[in-house]
Amino acid sequence: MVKVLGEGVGEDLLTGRPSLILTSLKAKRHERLVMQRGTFARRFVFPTALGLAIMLGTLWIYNVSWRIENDTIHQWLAFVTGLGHMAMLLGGSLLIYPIAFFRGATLAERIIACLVVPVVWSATEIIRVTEFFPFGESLYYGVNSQFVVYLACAALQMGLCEIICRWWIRGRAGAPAKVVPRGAVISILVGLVGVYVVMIWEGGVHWFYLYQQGYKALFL
Amino acid sequence: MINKLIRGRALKLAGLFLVPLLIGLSPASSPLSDAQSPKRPNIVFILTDDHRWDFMSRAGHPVVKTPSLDRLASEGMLFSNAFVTSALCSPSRASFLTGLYAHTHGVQNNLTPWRDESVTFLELFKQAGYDTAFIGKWHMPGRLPKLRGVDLFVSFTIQGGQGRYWNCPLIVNGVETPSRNPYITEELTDRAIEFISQKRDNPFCLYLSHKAVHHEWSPPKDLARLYEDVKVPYPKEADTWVTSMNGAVYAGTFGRLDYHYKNYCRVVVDVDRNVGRFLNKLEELGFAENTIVVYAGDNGYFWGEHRLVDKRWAYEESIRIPFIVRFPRLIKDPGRRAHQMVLNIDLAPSLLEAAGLPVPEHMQGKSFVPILKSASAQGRKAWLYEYSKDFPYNTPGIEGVRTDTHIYIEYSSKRPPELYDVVKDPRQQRNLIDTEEGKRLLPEMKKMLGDLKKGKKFD
Repeated sequence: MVKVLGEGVGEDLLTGRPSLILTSLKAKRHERLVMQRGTFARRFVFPTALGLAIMLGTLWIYNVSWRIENDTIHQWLAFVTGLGHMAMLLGGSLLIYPIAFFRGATLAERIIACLVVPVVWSATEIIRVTEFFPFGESLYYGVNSQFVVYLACAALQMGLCEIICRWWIRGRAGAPAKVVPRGAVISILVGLVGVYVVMIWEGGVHWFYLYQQGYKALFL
Repeated sequence: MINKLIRGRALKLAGLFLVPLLIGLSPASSPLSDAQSPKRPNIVFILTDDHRWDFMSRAGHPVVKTPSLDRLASEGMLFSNAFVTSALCSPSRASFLTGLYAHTHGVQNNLTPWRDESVTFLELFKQAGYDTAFIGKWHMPGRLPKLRGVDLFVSFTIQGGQGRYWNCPLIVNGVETPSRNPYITEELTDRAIEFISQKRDNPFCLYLSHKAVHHEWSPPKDLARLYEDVKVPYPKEADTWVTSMNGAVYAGTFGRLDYHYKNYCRVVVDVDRNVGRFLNKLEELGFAENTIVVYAGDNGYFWGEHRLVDKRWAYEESIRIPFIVRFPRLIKDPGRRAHQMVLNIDLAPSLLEAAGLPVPEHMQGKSFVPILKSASAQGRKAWLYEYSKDFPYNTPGIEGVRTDTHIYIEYSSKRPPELYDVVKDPRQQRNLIDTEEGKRLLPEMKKMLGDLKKGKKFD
């Protein structure tokens, strides 16, 4: 992803390093495709807020939908919002990352934008469970298996999106330094390992018991 | 053989003195001579995990068909008001074994360990000359204990003691042993059948404790599509994702409600047919007439009621259990439904009394033998419900009092107390606490709760 600085010269928005722009970029079509770095609100606040709005909005609607007298409406609304909420937590980065990427967000901004959704979700969970547990235990609850899975999914998806977005750009608007950067590969691997260990390994029970051991060590 | 006989006699003799010593009774008051008569009954206690009271065709379930449990009930007695004093596996299991409330036996949740000094009914039966076996799920916090008075101890420790449905490694008398049958319910039933089939001179006491029907509800292959096209009448407040939202996933229920519900039904059906297999063997061996068979669940389960899954909360779906007793020698009107309230803590004293053994004074349960004998026997008036916080499950500590008609619930959190008329409002949808009726009932319920906590009985 390149920000055009002058004739034939640009800045790689992914790394911040200077980059040569291919002559073909001068074409009008390519000018549309080369990302200009948007304002902070456009490149960071918008994708982050979109993800948060979907995650929190669907949760709120889901939690009140059972009060609707009409059972058909209740069931459909609960189905759609519940699905939307879980999809946002499990796969939100697939939406947030490309938006941030194509609006010129830096790597750090893209990562933070993707992590805000699971972190805010975890914070709402911590607040919710303070009804059941003391504050310290509630904080520990905030790093439960679900949260770790969401982080792992985010890592996996960020790595994938990075590669796909770079590949897309290269095909249409010029080539960033690498289509498959090492960081993206590491991110994918970390995500895969995280999802496997926490969610797939014997259905997640092993990780759950490790988590409980941590609880015992800290609080009992 | 001679050594075995001598050992057996020595144990009986020791039991003659040890039982009274343990339970504070004089030897003269112990009816052991009666227990040692040729007619002393065998004991079979079958315990399932999370089997809710109404998931039996006999209890009117719209989907599940359970011919073996129905048969057991028609040949014996179905208790339609059976409860657990704590709706959680470990405390409830310890209560069944000891006849004590959780605050007394100490296993208050899935984190507080079993105390080795606790006396189980298996130990008391052993001391009275029985051959004893514990087969199946132990699942109490801490290491697998060396249970006193248990001749055969088959259990498992994998997955935190929950075991698994397929190829569950067992621990047989302390030795790791692979499962011979790939499916856990069949494996445990096979071992139970082997135990009762052994040639012996003594009566037997068998505790058969299934992993089923606990999550992850993995049914045997031939039942994998059972009820697939059935439309289940879920409660109004439930929805597809009630199993996945707001912390519900800790119950192992991530996914759709219908998916998990039907697998639960399938696993119940498999338990039923294994119960049938076991009962047939009991009959074939000629033991049916002289064996007390008790079938129970360790707690209930929510399937969307109150927008909950799992158990723990003091609502009917969670605290009620299936409870069937068959003992032809004692029950003269088989097929009767008993409406008196019975509890998990009643099991141990009842089995002991039914076998003619003394009931230790420290046991907090009340024998239901009089109810087996007579439909008009007096039931208890009230009992204490207790639940201790169990991280990370989203339920506060709970104390409550359940009477024949009402339940009053207090929470350890800021959640306001609740009071329900369980006769007029069995689904507990209308909290009476701020109504005129509630204000009228509240002082008595609060007093009763206080008295129960102090140890007073309302039997």
